[in-house]
Amino acid sequence: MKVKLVTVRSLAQGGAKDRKFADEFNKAATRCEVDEEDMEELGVKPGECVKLTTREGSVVLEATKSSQSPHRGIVFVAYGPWINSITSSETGGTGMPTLKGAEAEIEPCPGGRVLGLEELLDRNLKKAGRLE
Amino acid sequence: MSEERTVRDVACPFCGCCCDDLEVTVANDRIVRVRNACALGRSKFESALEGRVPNPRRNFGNAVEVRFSEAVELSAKILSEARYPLLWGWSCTTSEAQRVGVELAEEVGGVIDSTTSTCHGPGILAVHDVGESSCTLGEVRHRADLVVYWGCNPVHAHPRHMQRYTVLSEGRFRKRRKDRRMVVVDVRRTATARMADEFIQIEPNGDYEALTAIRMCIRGEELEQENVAGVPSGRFEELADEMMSCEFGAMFFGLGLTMSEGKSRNVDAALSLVRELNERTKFVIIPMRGHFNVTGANEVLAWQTGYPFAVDFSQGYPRYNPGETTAVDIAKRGDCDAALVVASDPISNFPIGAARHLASIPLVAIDPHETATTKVANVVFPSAIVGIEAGGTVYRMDGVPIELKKVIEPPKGSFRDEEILSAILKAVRALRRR
Repeated sequence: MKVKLVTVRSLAQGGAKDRKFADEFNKAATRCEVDEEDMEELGVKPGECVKLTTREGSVVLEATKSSQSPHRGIVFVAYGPWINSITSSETGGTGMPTLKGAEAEIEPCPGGRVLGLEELLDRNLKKAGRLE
Repeated sequence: MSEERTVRDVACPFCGCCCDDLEVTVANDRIVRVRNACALGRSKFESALEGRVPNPRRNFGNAVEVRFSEAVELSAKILSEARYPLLWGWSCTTSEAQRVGVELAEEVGGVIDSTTSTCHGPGILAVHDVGESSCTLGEVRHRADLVVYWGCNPVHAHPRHMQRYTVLSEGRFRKRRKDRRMVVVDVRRTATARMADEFIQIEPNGDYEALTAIRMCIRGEELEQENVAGVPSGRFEELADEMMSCEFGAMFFGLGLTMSEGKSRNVDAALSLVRELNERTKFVIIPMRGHFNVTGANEVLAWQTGYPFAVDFSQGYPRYNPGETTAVDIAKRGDCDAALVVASDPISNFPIGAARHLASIPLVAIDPHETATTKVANVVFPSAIVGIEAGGTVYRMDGVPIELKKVIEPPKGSFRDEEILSAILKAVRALRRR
């Protein structure tokens, strides 16, 4: 399903932002808030994994039912390294990446698993040769 | 030493509200209680000791703890050998440290950019073009009878904003909630939207259209389309009437404008709308700045270099060209060949392409806490937490300077950002003289 991806601040994400390796931050920044009806259409239940894909790549997140529905066709994810792993660095000459309203594809990801921060860094930055 | 003491009028080092009425109770140099803070502020004080960087270290394959002086020498070498170093962060530190940062950037011929460029930077570009009708938050509190929150969710990002400065505050001329109208424009019914008298739910990336529609209504032009940004046009006609008929309107905008398609142009439309409203009534506009001293980073850079962010010293004089000299663009192009990161976590917060380049170059990080950036940095300095373990000056979102307090001692070996930066600057100068 094609969606618009909006990244946001949340109380939980903000409160844990200085504890990046804590469970609270992981939980807050790996949830994907999906509209209720979109969830039904996707056949995904709260707590199940979804895969979000952009031109930059894919990331597995945990789907949660949005408490702020209806917002069909829009998904919300808190700021953090997980969602940034599929965010484009293109700024259109403004210095600012498109962190709200970018196009993405969402699909169910049965058997998927949300990566821990260390694993995510390892996967994404290994090419950089720093985390051998 | 086991006696409790309470420090009053403490300013909060979390968001741009810089609430300066906190009461922090300390016993045995530990924080035991925080009063008046929101959930974000309280969590910052209460978890201050968690996940700290223990000692200075270097990491070129294996992480090894080193003496402070060795970390300083290594950092100075990395920065002075670089052709085009990037000095990034600056929004969660004091203006005193920012000032040393500018001096260091000039000395090493690098680029100094703050988290501004990935939050309200596009808004500053719009201010260059349009100008800004602004005031202090105190004035909004006393006078505003219409408050518009556009593309922001203060309940989650600036939890005490409404209580201290807008609809839930008691002002001199607006005493109660019913003395003010509150309008929220956003892409979903946020917790903030639920508190509003009126909520307009627009489509993502529809801000420019919606703002333009309101501007047309104010000029008396007719909206030909039935819907604008997914909303019946009549809603914007009503909002335009409401804006024109208030006595003192205040619009607060968030990253909903700066991060969506259109970016600086969205803010351009909002600033223009407010300018035009001032032909009819009194109206102001203030950005909801995120980090507690991101405004200070703009102030310090502007008074030291003439430009508010993304300042490039590689030619020997300050140059400013956002889109080219902004951090994400520099990293994405692979231009910077070393970086110094102060109180920020770009490896987490930058898009993957830019983060990957930063992780591949010599990197120095100064931070109280372990972050994705300290994990990949070659040199790491533990620092005192600004506003908890170190005092200094910060600028609130409306540009009012506020004094942060030191309420407890930093852990042994954690110094103030300003001290660490001054030591690096001194070492860079010594290398240059050799």
